[in-house]
Amino acid sequence: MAKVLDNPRPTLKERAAKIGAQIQGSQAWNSIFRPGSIFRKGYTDSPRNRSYVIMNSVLYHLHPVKVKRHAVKVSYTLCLGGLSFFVFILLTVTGIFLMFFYRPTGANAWQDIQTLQTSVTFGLLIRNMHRWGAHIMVLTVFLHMARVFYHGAYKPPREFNWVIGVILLTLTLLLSFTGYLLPWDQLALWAVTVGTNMMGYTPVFGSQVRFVLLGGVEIGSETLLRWYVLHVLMLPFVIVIFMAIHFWRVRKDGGISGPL
Amino acid sequence: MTEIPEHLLKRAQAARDKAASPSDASASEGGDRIPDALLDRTKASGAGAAVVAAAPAGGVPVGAGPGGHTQRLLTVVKSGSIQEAKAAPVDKVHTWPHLLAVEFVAGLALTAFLFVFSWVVNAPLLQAADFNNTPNPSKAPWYFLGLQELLTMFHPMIAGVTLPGMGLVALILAPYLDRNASNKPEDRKFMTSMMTMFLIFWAVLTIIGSFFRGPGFNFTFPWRDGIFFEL
Amino acid sequence: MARTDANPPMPEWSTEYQLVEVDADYLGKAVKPKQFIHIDQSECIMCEGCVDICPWKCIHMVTPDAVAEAQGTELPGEDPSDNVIFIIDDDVCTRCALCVDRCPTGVIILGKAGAPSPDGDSHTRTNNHGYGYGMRL
Repeated sequence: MAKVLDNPRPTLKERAAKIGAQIQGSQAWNSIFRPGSIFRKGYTDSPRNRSYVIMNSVLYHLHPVKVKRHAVKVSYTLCLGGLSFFVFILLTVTGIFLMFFYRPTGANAWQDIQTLQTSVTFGLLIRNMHRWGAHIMVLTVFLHMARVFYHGAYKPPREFNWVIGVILLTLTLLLSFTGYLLPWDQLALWAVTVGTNMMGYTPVFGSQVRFVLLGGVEIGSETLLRWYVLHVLMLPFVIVIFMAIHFWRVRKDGGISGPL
Repeated sequence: MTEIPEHLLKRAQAARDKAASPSDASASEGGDRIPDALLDRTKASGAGAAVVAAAPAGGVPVGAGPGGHTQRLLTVVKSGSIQEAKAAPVDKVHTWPHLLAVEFVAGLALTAFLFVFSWVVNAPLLQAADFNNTPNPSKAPWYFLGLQELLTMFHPMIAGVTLPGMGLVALILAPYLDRNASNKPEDRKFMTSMMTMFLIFWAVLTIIGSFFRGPGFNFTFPWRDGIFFEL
Repeated sequence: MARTDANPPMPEWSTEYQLVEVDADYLGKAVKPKQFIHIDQSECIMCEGCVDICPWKCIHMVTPDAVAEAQGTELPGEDPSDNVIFIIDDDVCTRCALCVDRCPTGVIILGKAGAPSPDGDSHTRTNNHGYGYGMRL
C-alpha cells in the first residue's frame, strides 16, 4: 500500500505537462523558435528577454526593439496606420478565398458570385468580410492621413514618407474601385460607368486613358478581365512595394512623430 | 591601397607622441587623476563626467556621473549620418509587450467587428449587369460621390480631372509648402484650419452625393423620398 | 500596459558632461565587471542598432555638445567633423553583449580595459568566436 502511495500513477494533467515540456525542449521546437522567444521553455519576463523577443523574431523587420514611450499611447495614433495594414492582410486572405470561386468573364462573373453566396460554405460570410473590409480600409487609410496631418507628422524629416502615404491612399482607392466592378451586377456596372466616364475627360489623352482602362470603347468582358488582373495582382503588388518603403521610412525617420 | 583617413593619422601621431613623452608616468596614480577643481564644479552643477569622474575615498573610486554612475565616452564618430541626434537621450519602452499587446488587441477587435458585421449585414448583389437597363440614379462608389457631386456644378473636365488632380498635388506638396517647423497645434492654426476645411468640403459633398441625390441625380431629402444609396 | 510597466528605469543622463581622461587602472576600480564595451568609430554607421537593442537603456548616441568641458583630452565637437558621440553607463551595463551581436558592421567589441596584446585583439568576432544572435559561439 505504501509503495503505491510513493509512486502514484501520474494524473492526466501531469502527463500533459511532461509531454509539453518534452516538446518545448526538443531540437525541432528549438530550431523553430529562436532564443528569447516567448514560445521557448523557461521564458521569463526580464528586460533582456523583452529585447530578445523582437530581435529574434520576424517582427524585427517591422518593429524596432524599443519605441518611444508616447508611441504606445492609443490616443496618439488611434492605431489607424497599423489597422490599415491589418485590414489589407484580412482582405488578402479573404480575397484569395474568393478567387477560387470566381471567373472574370461577362458570362460567368455574376453567376459565380451568386453560387458562392448560396452554395459555398462560408462563401457569403467571406464575401461580406471582403466587401466591408474594403470600405473599412478606405476609411482607416483616410483617417490615418488626417491624423498624420493634424499631428504635423509630415514635417521634416518625414516629408517623403507623407508623399508615399498619398500614393498609398490613391492606390487604396484604385484597389477598391477595381474591385467594385468584379461582382458584375447592376450596381458595379453603372458605378464604374460613371467613374470611368469622368476619366474620359482627362485633357489631351483622355479617350486613350479610357480605352486602355476599359480594354475597348465601352465596358465589357475585356474590362472585367483587365480590372480583375489589376485588382488581384498588379495593384496589390505595387501597393506592397510602397507599403514596404512606407514602413521602412517610418523607422528610418526616427519612429513615429511627436510628442506634441 | 586604400587611403588612411586624416583623423586616424592624427590619432596615431598623437598616440606615438604620448608614448614618447615622459609625462605618461601618471598611469598608475589611480583615481587621483581627476582635478579637484573639476570635481567641485561637477558637484555644484549636478552634471557628471563622461569618461569617469571620481571622488577618491580610500583608493576605491566612486562614480561621479549623473546618479553617481560611472559613464564613459565610448567614441566620437566623425562621418555624417542620416540619423538625427539630440543632446539628451530619449526614454523608450520595449515593443514587446507594450506595443505588440496594443496592436494585437486592436487587430483582434477589428477582426471581431468585421466578422460580426459581415454576419449580420449582407453585401449588396443586385441583378446581373444589363447594358440595356440603366438604373436611376447611377452612382459611383461612395468615395467618388464627392466628385460626382462636383460634376453637377462644373464642366466634367474641371470636376472629374482638374479639381481632384489639384487636390492630390496639393496633398503631395503639403510638406514642401508648409515652412512652419513646429508640430504644436497652437502654432499651426492656419494649416489645421485649411485641412479641416478641405475635409469638411469633401465630407459634405460626399454626404450630399450619397443621401441627398435621387433619380436623375436631382436633389432629394432622404426622409421624404428614401435613400438612393448602395455601399 | 502602463499598469505593469516593468521597463528598467532610464539611467540619468546629463547634457553638461565634464570629460576626463582616466587610465585602465582607475576604470578597473570604479566598475565591477571587468569587461568593457568599445566602439571603433571608423566603421560605425550610426544606425543606432545598439541603442535600440539595449535592454537596460544604458548606451546612447547624442550630439557632441552634450559634453561641456574636457580635461586632458580633446573636447568632442571641437573638430568640425565630429558628428555624434556614444555614451555608456558602465554601472548599468550588464555586458549582455546584445549590442555586440546587433552591430551590423561588427565594430562593437567586448574587451578588457588596458593595453591590447601584441597579437592583436582577442575579442574580435569571427565565424566561430564571439556572439551570434543570442548565443555565445
